Amino acid sequence: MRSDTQAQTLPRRAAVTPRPLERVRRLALWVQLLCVAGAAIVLIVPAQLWSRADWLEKVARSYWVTDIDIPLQLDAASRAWGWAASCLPSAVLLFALWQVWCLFGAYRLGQVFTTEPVRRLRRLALALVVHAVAQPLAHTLSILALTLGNPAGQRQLVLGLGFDHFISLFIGLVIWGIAQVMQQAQAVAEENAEFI
Amino acid sequence: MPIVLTLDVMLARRKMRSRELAERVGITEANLSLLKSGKVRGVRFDTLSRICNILDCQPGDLLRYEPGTEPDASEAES
Repeated sequence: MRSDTQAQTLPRRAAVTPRPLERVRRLALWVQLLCVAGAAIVLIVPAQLWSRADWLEKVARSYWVTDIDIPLQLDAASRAWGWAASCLPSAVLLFALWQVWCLFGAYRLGQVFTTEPVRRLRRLALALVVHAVAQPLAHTLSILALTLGNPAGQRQLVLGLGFDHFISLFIGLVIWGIAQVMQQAQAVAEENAEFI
Repeated sequence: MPIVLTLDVMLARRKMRSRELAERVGITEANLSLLKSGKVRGVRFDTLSRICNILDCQPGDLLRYEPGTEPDASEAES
């Protein structure tokens, strides 16, 4: 009696449960959409910040140059230099997002244990490690751009290292490790495919 | 590889086409072709047992050992 019930429910459950790769494909689509949103934010927000002097002053006074006695140069040239400096981590982030896009694009095509995801994971890891260096560097250069026009003694050369830089470095190294494991998995899958 | 597959001989004996065998075994025709030409690293036991069942033969009727160059042990592991 009990086994009859199980026999009746099993096929229904199998029909409802999606295949694992279909789930990955759906997830990959969402991740790719998030990549587009992320890329838009990375491009638009810094451009908006550096083009609006009032907003920039507010942010700079709150987080970067808190000493009120040090004036900020908010002319177009200083802001352009600052924006150029901020482009450095933005470019690295865009590269990282591109790698995520390609990685999940490969997953959508069903390429899970192939060389492509391993390559993309490695590049993503590298991008995150570079971002951990590029972000404090850009921060230093941005503040320098806003205070370079000040008289001597009021120019600021700030080097700030924070927890977010450590996190970027840490995640980069973790993804690098995962890429190494995925390379082994790809080799096993390749070998398995040679068995019929 | 000193292991030679004589699947094509058995197919001829049973007067069966590759396509039909592939369909009944549940593998692609391309994979069956690779199997016939010996361009595979190995054959799974379940594939072998299905082939034996369909062709009504023993694994020994499909596989033959011909002394030759043995694969390197490190190559086999990699």
